[in-house]
Amino acid sequence: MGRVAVAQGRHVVGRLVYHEIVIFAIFCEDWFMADDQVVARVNEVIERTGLSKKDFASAIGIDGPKLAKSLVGKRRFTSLELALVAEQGDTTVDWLLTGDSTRELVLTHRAAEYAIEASDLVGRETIEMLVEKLEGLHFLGRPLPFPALPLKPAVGGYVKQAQRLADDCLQMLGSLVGGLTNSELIGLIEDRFGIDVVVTGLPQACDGLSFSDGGVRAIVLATSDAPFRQRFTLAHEVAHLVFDDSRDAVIEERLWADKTQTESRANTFAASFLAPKSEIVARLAERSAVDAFDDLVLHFQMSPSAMSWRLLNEQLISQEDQRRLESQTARATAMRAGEAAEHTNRARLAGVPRPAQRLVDAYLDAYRDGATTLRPAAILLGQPVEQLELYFVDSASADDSALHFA
Amino acid sequence: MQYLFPDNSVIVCFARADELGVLEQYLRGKGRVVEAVSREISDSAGHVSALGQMDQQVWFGDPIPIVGAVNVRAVEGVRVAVFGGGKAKPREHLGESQTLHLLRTDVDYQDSIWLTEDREAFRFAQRQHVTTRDTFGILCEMVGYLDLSTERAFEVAQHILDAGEPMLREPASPRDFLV
Repeated sequence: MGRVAVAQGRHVVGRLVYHEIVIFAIFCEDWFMADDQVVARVNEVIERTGLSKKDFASAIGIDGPKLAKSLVGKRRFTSLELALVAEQGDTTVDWLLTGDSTRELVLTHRAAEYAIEASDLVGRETIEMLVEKLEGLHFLGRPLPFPALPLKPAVGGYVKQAQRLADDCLQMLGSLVGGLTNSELIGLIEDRFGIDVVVTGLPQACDGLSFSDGGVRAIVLATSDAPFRQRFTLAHEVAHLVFDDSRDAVIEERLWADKTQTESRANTFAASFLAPKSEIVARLAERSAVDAFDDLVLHFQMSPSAMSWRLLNEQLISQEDQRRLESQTARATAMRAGEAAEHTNRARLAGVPRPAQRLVDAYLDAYRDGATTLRPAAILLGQPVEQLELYFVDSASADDSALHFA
Repeated sequence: MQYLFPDNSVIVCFARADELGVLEQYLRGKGRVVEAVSREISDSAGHVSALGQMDQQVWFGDPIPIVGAVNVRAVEGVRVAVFGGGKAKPREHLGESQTLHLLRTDVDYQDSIWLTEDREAFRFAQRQHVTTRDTFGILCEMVGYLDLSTERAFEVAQHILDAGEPMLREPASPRDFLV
């Protein structure tokens, strides 16, 4: 598992139009942005490149004397010059202006420090993109809701804490969990918890990632042919976010690979969240948990192993039954129950990438209101902007045909 | 005064078609560019030979810089939130963002016209009530001013398309310029 510290720095504005945003900025921290601090940071970038000031000016294609004047405070840097400096120094204009370590900057640098393989950066890049787009909505004066999550219980061991927090989260979710598809559950988590979720291809053995800071909560799940594992990872990552394990950090998940208390706590939370005791009891009706085991596995969409431990922990089965039941497989269970087709379909859906729908909707709303272009939504959807334009703007579809009534 | 702000997409269109003279005629000395667009034109000169002959000082005067933390920050916000530029790619869509910001906020330029062949920029600017022209619109206006015949405007458009440059609106015949 890699942990990466990430600095904060968010700027919240209300729902404003473009002119108002610019005027608003004058009264915000921008007003106090001292030029000498910008100069200091440009100097820092130049030093990092190891170039002389003259060679640096030449490398970014700006006039040497102009750069020299700016560096002694006799001239202000222009927007283009700051972009060129940022580009050359592998940093961002935000950082040059404010010194706030932008998330992607620290992520990239720390990733290099930990010698994480390039493929591991895929998930991190997705997180960076989500953060960038969430910040973009703040700039447009259209921040997404960021509800307060239930607080971590102050007392009790980690198992009790996990169970209680799972109960609180279920109350906040306001819905039964068993029977929901993974997609429905993700939608509810986005909506109720303000957590943005992306499903995408991740390097092998990486089940997911989570990240949070003062204004962003994000989960990236791996596409998979194992829908129950994907669902468990989702709940496990929710645990990291509500316990604040992912605060200012990216946690890469290799499920079951880590035996730390933090991971065990997240597993306990996930099991309690996905299969609440009250729902299990209601589902059992008059049956014993052993007799109803296949049905419980398929209804709560939890692996036989995880479900057997869940039932044991709730004292609904014996230790002997647990050992016997945990060796079953999800696919065999589905076959036995005559739900093979449904399970195959679940597996297919778990392999389909999913964009951060809350963000996509927010950007499409902003586009509809004339506040942005289609490009941010296209990036979130991973589609060429022309394709999105055809889809939403230019063309009718078969949905609009009256023929199917004929 | 009403200035004309071509972005790099329009300039490249005319340059690839070897028709820069037509664009220069349209600009009538009122062309201006922001700093980032000026840099984009210089960068494009590396692969569009006709741009090597363009004296930007004569065409546009000094490029207009965007200065001050408030303005720089606003440009960066537009670049990322409106045009989808990446923070890790500080020059992505910078020219469009600077131009839009200038035309929206600087009273000296608020009556100016933005010339762009970028569909997203074109649509967005129009919805923001910034007067905008694409290449087809430029040629239509020149026909209207009697600077070009419809046949000549059609020929220029054909040269642009033949050079492999797409147009937001493609004329099917010279009559299309009579709008």
